[in-house]
Amino acid sequence: MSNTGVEILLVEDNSADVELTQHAFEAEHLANRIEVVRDGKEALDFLFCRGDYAHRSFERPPRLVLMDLQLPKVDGIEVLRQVKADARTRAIPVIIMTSSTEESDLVRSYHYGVNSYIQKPVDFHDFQKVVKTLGLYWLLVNAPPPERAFTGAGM
Amino acid sequence: MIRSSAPDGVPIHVLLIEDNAGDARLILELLRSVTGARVAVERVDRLEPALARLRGAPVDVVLLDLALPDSQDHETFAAVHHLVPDVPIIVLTGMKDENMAARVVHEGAQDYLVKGQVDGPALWRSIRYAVERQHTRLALRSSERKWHAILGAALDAVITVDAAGTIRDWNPRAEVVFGWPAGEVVGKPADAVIPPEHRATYRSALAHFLATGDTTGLGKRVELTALHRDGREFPIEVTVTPIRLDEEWLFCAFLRDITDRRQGEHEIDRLNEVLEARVAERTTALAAANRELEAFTYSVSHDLRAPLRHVSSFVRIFADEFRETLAPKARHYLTRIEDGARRMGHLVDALLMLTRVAKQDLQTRATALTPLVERIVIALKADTTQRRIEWRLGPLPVVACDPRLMEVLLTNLLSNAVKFTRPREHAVIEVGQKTCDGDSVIFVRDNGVGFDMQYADKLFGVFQRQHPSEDFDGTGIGLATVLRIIHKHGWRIWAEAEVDRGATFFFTHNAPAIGSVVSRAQEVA
Repeated sequence: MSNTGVEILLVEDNSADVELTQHAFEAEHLANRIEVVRDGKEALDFLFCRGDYAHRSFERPPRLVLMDLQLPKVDGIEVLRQVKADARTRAIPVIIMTSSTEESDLVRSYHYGVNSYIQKPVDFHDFQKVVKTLGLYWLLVNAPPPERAFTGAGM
Repeated sequence: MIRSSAPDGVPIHVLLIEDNAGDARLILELLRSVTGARVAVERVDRLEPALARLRGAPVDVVLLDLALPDSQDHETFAAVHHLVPDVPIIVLTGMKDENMAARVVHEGAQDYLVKGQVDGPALWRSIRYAVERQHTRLALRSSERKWHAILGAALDAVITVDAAGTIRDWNPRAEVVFGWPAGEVVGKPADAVIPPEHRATYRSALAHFLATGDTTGLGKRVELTALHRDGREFPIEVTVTPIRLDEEWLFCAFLRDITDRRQGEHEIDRLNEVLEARVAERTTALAAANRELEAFTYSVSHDLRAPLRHVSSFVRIFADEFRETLAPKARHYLTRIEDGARRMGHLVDALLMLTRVAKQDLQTRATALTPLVERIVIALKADTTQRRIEWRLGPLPVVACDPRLMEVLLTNLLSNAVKFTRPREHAVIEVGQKTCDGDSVIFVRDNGVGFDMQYADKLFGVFQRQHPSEDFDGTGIGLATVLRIIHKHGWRIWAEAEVDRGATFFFTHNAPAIGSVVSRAQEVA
């Protein structure tokens, strides 16, 4: 697998949701490359460059992680916690996109340092609007973390 | 039958029992000689006919000669008195015998007169006094009997005790209550019915009253402990009243055994405890069942959301990409599918809101309703730009409530008003505050299609709808959510409506005092 050009890591176990999200991004021509992983363990392997993703390098992180909360093996909150606890991955913007409306999920996500929390709209047009907004913001408007943000050098 | 004291003009009926015709005539002469004496004298000359006569019509007084041919001396008196004990007898005899006089008077004769030693006025006076005295005595006896009967029939024990603490009177009920027959306690100290540890108190109370006349504690119903003959102590309710009688104090006690009542009270207390425990138990069970149901509803509606989102999303993508190429019929079906998915989306959202309201802890704080309603109205106006709706917002109070829940509540009521005024050219929706039966209430009134009050009880049930969903879309969950919120706050809600004449919803916003079983039951409802 190529280590270059991954703009969005989509962590989503439901294939329908994967397709819908990809469809929305494609419709808006926002992401050149979306990598999909189907559970929390795979997400951690990807982000921490291990297992099937051992060939990846911490120097080339995805520009954005878009993650559901309910995931097989390791749930989204735990993935978030580990990513934000490690200096090598902490700077990666993580957006939780979930159908959960539990207040406790929101509280825990922000507690572990989520960058954005989005409740999936039921209506597809609304969903598309949300995807467009967040894509525009995180991929175009927002200044991405410089390389040194991942190594801690120069702080 | 004894006639009452002779009224003026009615002669006193005298039966003269006298064998000597001369003496009889003399007596009649004596009576006739007295001015104003009105007597009717009837005479018999022997005992037997006298007794026969006395068994007949009553007489007022008997003038009796003790020496008769068929009876002598005391025997004569005894025979007559025995037969008519209530008829006054004046003994009239030829010889003066002080012993005999004393004896018959002692036994009930009214007077003892010696012939020849009594003149007309004295005889007349004796007759009149005898009749009067007898009348008074009978009246007194009748009165005594009446009181005796009353005390005997009383369901309360009635006891009198004198200043020395000696029992004077003891009615039949007292015998039952204390186990002592009157004969065994009358004349004895009242200690007999007072438990030893209370005797000193009783004595000092008695002494205190006699010394000071202080009636504190007297004449009032008090509960004390009494002592039964068998040694058992039992609760009584007693009223002690001091009575001043012939220069001495008597204390009259009316009392009753309240063992049964006490037991009843204890039983009621016990049953109440059992009931409370059971209510608490059921309440807990019900709350648990409700929580389970909430959890189930929540997870079902939550889990339904994802597949539903997929259906609606792919239908949307399908429509976006292929609608133009579809046959009209296929487009129609597509619209139906989209409608169905959208409705189900609303349903699931409403169900989620309902369960969230139920799960949510009440966080009460003073909330000004005016800005809250204004905010909701602004949002609703944005959705209804095509319609002509007149909003009338009256002054609203600051209410102690959970502001998030209050917003859900008012949003539901106001969007209902918006929804059900849709057929109106000019819709009027009014929000205000008024007083209903002394309670401040908030009301939301509209001039919409209203509903039939016959079905008002179904208004707040889940999935209960008053109108076909084709006419007014809706989930049938909105008012159920409203009711949850109302119950959570301990308030009340009701509606008044008429078909085609609009509807008004009222709710109170002052929680009643908590602590009753009812309010606890309501919390889990």
